[in-house]
Amino acid sequence: MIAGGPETAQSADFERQLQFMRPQLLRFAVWLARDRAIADDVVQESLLRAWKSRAELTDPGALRPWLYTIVRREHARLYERKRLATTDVDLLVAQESPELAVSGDEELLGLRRAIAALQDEYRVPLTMQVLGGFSTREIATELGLTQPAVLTRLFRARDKLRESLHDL
Amino acid sequence: MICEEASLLIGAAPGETTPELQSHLASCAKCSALRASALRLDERIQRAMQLGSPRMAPNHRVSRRGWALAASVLLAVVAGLLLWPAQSGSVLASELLQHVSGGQERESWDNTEVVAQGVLDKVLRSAGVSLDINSDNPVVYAHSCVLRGRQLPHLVIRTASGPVTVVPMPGEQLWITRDFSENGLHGVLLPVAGGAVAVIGRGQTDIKSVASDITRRIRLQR
Repeated sequence: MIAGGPETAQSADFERQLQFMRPQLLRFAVWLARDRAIADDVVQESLLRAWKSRAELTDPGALRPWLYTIVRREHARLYERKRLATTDVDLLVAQESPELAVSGDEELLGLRRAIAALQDEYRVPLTMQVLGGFSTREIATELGLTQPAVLTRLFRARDKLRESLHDL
Repeated sequence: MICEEASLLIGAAPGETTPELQSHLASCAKCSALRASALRLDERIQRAMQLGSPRMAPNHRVSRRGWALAASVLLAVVAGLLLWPAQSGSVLASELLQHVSGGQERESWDNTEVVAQGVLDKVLRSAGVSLDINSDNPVVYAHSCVLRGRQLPHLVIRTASGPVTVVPMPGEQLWITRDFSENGLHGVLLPVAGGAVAVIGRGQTDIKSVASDITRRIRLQR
């Protein structure tokens, strides 16, 4: 390792924080993308982007939401680029992605499949809320929606999941 | 606040409260019960979304149907691995595979003679890399190659399961271990302190054990 001053130490500390956040971000990306390979790409690109833009993070306490936002935007970018491919395999991924299907109890499996099968408009805000810890107000800002619209989507998302549990 | 408004808030964000909602809940048993139920559902959603990174949490109880599902998933994973190159889209992996399988580099796997320590040191030092020797897996090819627009060591290590290419990449920012394969070659990109390392083999070569060994023995300077 090359010796350096405070800036090097800060960079090393930032890198450690990114590494610490990586599993959480990967989990978030898996639920956004419903595909492990795409999620890997999203997280890799997001962390690279975060690293390059680290000077923009003025409040260290805001690291977590800042990273989740980068991941969500990177996923949106990637999804735009891969729209044709992912639209075709959406259902397949929802049913067969190992991240969504490998074990746990049967109810959990059913719930995972139901979450994966939610349309983007429901799954994205739900994932932001449940895994990212975003408030409905923050989700509204992030997604460019009104807060009532976000509340409606989250309500419907949970309603669909509740129904899926009854079907099991 | 009326019950209709309360139920929307509860159903959308069970964990969020407002003074108005709190006040309503204090006086409405129906909405309180609804919130308790919504919080229970949220616990299950939370648990379902915690996939256990990077793979899932361990089994607790797996039903017959669960095993059948797991078997079908395994088949899907195998099929997915076969189709991986088209999907992974890693530019770095593509560049490496192109380099390893092209021109004279292709013949690097035919080398059997152990590279002289002085030659190996020179190749590694020029890129800011150091490697502890493992006599069980000697380096049989060491060359400075232009990759990613800079000089990087291209090594071939002789292993019991066949020759394996190792490319240390100081300063390469990789955050996730990536498997890749194409045209009979398969490899793994590993993040290590100071950069990344690529390990590439062919056929049945056991690159995983080489990768694990290399990450213990290699040191990169940014």
